[in-house]
Amino acid sequence: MEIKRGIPVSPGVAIGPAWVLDTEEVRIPERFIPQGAYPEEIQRFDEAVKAAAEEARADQRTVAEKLGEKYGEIFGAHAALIEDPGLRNEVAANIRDRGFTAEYALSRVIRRRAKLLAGLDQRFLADRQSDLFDIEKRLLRQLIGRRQEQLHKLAEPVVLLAHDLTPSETAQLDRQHVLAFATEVGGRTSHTAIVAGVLGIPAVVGLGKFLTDVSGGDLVIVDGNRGIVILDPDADTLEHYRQAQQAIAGLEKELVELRDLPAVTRDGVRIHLYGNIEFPEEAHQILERGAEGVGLYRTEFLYLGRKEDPTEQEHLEAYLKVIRQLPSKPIVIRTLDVGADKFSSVTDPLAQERNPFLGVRSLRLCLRNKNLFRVQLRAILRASAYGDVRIMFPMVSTISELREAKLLLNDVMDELEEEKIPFNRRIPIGTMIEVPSAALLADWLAREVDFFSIGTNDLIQYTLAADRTNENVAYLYNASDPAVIRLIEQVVRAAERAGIPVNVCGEMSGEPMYAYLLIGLGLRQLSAPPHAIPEIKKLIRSITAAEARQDAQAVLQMETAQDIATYLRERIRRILPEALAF
Amino acid sequence: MTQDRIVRSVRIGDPQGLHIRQAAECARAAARFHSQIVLRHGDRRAENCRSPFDILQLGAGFGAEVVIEAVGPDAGEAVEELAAILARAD
Repeated sequence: MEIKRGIPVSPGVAIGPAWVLDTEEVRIPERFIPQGAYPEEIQRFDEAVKAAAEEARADQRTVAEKLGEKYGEIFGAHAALIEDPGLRNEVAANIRDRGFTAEYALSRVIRRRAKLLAGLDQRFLADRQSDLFDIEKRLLRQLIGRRQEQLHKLAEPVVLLAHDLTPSETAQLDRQHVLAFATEVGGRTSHTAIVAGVLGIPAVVGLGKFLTDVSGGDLVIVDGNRGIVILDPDADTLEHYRQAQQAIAGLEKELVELRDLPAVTRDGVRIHLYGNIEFPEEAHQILERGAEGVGLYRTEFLYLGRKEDPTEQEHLEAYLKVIRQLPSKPIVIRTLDVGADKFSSVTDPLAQERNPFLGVRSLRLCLRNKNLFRVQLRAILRASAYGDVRIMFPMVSTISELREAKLLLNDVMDELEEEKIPFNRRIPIGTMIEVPSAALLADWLAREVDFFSIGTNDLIQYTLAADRTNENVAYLYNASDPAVIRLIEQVVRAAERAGIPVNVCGEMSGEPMYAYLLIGLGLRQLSAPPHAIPEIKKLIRSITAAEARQDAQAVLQMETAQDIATYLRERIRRILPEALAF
Repeated sequence: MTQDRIVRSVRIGDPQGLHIRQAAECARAAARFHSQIVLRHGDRRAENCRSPFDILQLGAGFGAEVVIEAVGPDAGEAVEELAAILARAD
């Protein structure tokens, strides 16, 4: 048994066989296919051979055109080696007779052959080993690239282990086949983590190197509540977790029953609970989990992974999809919030920034590319004719920026009016408070907008100057840091004085101990990932606002993040013991 | 159908020795003939001449002698064509 500690990013406990997803440079651990599954596995190899050979021939044509036939021939030879019947038969025999996966069988066969060539005592041949590794890589890419589809053909659900998963890879995972996932890299607020939370798949990231210690098929426990991955658990541990799973299932059921109950504290304070969504397909979760509306509708998905920027119509349809599912519920649409590097149409030389988190991103990017921005603003305004749509600008760092964005919005309004296109002229306009400068000037910013939304993920990162994806400084990135809490408190006071609502839409809202603190600091609106909503509602119904306020006052006097976290954890253990049970 | 058996030896003509492009070309050529073709270099044999890997694993350097043996209806043609590829300097 081996216990690995990482960062919990999506709650839940899963127990199942390991499925290791390799990246190119990672050693292929010994892996076996389920008994009798070899015909499919050999077929998978044959398909990879066909695709890899085609790819090599395509390279042959390109290189021949650029450098001449003779160089193109190198890739023609690679194609011939990939299609070598002897290689195929040896790999197939390894799969059939020894139950190896195609990847592992290929790796072994290539290594054996490379060794043979090196042993021929011929310096030229040894050089040619690199050709073999090249064709191996080509085949592996095909095999691994197909793995995603393969996941759907698995006989039993698995625990996915990988060096890293991209957000889009994560989004393709399907609960039916993937019980949980764990990765070597990644941080709490990476998009991969957020997507895992949305899908409701237990996940732990940032575990450090561990893939070399695990073989496919090994039993693995992923504890997404505590950030623990247990390889090859002993009988006691296994039993312990089986019981925990049952307890969690019971809790889930109870939480669903909470759906139709109001989010009111024991002393009668009403808390407005909203959900954060990333894709229009998630809107139904808002209703299922009993949230009052969408507190944060991220719109990045419209732009990512495509060659051309989305049209006004595509924007509008994405917004209407949510409005149709949640008629008359508030929907806060946040304008584009990504870095310049994610873009096809933005060919700014600034795309190569040395420090992109402090560079041209988010609202800054939109204000530099007004045509791009106008498309989205028009679509949001047009959507406002059909529902309770509100608009929110991210990453505002100065008052001038906010004014510039509002001016542009006004411009677009005039334009729509001239075109006689319906929209809500009084659409509520909000700003995110996620840069320390905005938090410090919250009292002035409050005069310019209808509402605030505190983005705690970025606020923590910028306040502590700690890159949230850098494992070496991740310890500084802490929601319980006194500087962060003091800034949040200031923003809440500024909003109260100006008489505008303030919401928190960061991950803090979804964690019981921080949600408790936020209510104590005076927040009456929280927006959390859908999966967290029932638990937060249960928390709200278990506390009194008066006690939460006292605790928040006590926390404001504490000097270190550790003291604060310990204090809050202790409080929650008393109020909602099951929240931290596992 | 006649079953000729033709044997012929040839010296590797490329200063780099028998390389993967030649091996691939030999395998492609061998696949066009009906004859069984075996290559030998010293005590190493490429039993399946349609496998570029097997040919490569002869480990034949520049000037090394390779024996081509073909059995089948087009053995003569096959041997001539393979000999031409192996003897060539690229």
